[in-house]
Amino acid sequence: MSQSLRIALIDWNTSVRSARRAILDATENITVVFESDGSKDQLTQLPDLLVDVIVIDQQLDSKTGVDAFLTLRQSYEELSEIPKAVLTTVFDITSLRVQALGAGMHDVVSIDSGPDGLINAIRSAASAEPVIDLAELAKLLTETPPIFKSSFELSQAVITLPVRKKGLIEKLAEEWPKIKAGSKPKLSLEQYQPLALSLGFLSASEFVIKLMQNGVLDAK
Amino acid sequence: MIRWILDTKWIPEIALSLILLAVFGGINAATSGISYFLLSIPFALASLFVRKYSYLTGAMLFVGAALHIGFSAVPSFGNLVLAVVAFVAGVFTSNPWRVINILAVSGTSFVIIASASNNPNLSLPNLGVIEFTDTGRLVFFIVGSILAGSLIGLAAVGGRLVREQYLQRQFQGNRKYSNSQQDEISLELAEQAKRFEMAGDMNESAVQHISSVITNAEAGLYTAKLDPDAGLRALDKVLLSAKAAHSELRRLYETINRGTVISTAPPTLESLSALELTMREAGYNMSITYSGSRVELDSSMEVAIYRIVFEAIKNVRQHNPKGTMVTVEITWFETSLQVIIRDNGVEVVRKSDVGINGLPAPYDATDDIDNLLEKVIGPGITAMRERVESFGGSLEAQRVVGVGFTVSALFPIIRPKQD
Repeated sequence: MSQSLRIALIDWNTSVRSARRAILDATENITVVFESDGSKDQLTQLPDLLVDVIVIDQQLDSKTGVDAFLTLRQSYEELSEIPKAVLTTVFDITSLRVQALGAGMHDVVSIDSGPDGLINAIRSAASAEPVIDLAELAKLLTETPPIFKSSFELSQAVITLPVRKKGLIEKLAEEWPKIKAGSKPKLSLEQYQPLALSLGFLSASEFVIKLMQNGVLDAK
Repeated sequence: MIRWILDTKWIPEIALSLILLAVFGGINAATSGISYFLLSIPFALASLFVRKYSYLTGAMLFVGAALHIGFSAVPSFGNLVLAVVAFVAGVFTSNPWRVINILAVSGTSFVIIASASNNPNLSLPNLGVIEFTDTGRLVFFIVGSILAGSLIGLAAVGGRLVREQYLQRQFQGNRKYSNSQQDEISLELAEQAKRFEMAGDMNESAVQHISSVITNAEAGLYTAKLDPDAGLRALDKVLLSAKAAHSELRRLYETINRGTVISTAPPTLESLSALELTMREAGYNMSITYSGSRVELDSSMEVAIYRIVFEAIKNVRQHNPKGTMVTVEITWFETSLQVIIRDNGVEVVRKSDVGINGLPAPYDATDDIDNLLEKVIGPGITAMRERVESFGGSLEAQRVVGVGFTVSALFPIIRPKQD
């Protein structure tokens, strides 16, 4: 018997939260170990609960789900301890998806995905397999270009990379315009997962979005 | 001629000219004889053209000056009419003709004085001067010119002053009106912004409730497989959330429609009688007539008809004076329903605007052609037309020359087959 996934459920809407809890409780190998409306006091307990996946709604009482996750991720001491996060939302909006992936969240599930969509997203988050491929990510970023935020630390980290790993980024930078133009990518996001984690990112998606934000991918 | 005067609204100028002729010509006739009365005619006529055809004012002054030289006339009290012409030109004439005419008045007065100073018969018996020497004539010319120039200058400046005061008062009035309009618009905008903000909040709340409905319904379906009671509990929550969403949507509806009449039931053809009453209370006459064999209409068509009549009579109130008659004719034909809304606003205005002959203001063939060629456009008409066209019908809106405005809407109808 496989180990049960420990879930933290964060939603400001009590009724929706309890309904989601009922769904998750009725699902095999999933246990809701933490429930909150998103208030700061409650969220501070989270790092001690060894949660596998956080299901967090975009609408919380005082801030957005993405912002709450960014705050939450700082409260973990080790990158490996940070649980994967699934953002739940009413409408699936491209800009929100980019924002969530850029914040290191694993996936975004809108209300019309139904219980199966939510459960699949949780399972996929727990296995850490990317839910989006490079072509889809490029398409998302073309539709909603992220705001450019230059990070000196990222630039330094890229410069000091060993030649082999740096070559992987150069390859991506070379391929990126073609992928954005609609060509089938010769690369996959999985290839970048170890590199992303080694550079302090939660996912390959977050890493690629950060590279894009720093102009690495669009540099001529 | 009368038509020309009526069209160009010459009455004030004609009255002014006649008054000037009567006063100054009369003074001339009384003090210097009938020939001097005739000499004042061109100057009186000069005031006739100060507003329109201003160049004729200068021409009349030239004629007057020429007659003075021709008849070797001496300055008379009646020549004071020139100061009045300068005043009137200052008030009513626009540049450059104002400057030209004031200079023409000044020039005329100098010519009259020069002509008088060269007149061999020049004498001022009241001042004891029987005969003028050359120096005396020069002094007479200089003093006379200075006096005349000063008087005319004063009159022209006075005229400008009166004009400026009038414009200033008008400007102040316009500014007050504009300020009050701006205040009203700002207030309305603020209300709308607030309403929009509230609507946004309510919409957000409604979305949350709908999310709750969906999630609970899904949870009910999902969990009912394991525990049927859980399905029932979820159903309770669905009902609660649905009711909350409904009440939120109701509030949203009321907020968005605030300022318009919200009725529990949509308006029908019977509701038109309420409009009749409202119009009468507002001082307008309204009558509704029905003819033909009536059939039951779709409620949305009845709403559309009500809205069209409502919009048309709203226009009547906006553009026509009280006392205007509005007739609404609803006629059922075999395959169509016609709604005609007519008003006689133009006729009411025309009858109240009586000309000097005591008859209503006339109109001619040009007005007819203009009305026939004019395409009536506007957001209200477009909205009405769109309403009718959504039922496959058509709408015509037309001015009726000398009478008012007519809106005619034709809706297709289907009569039930009779066995």
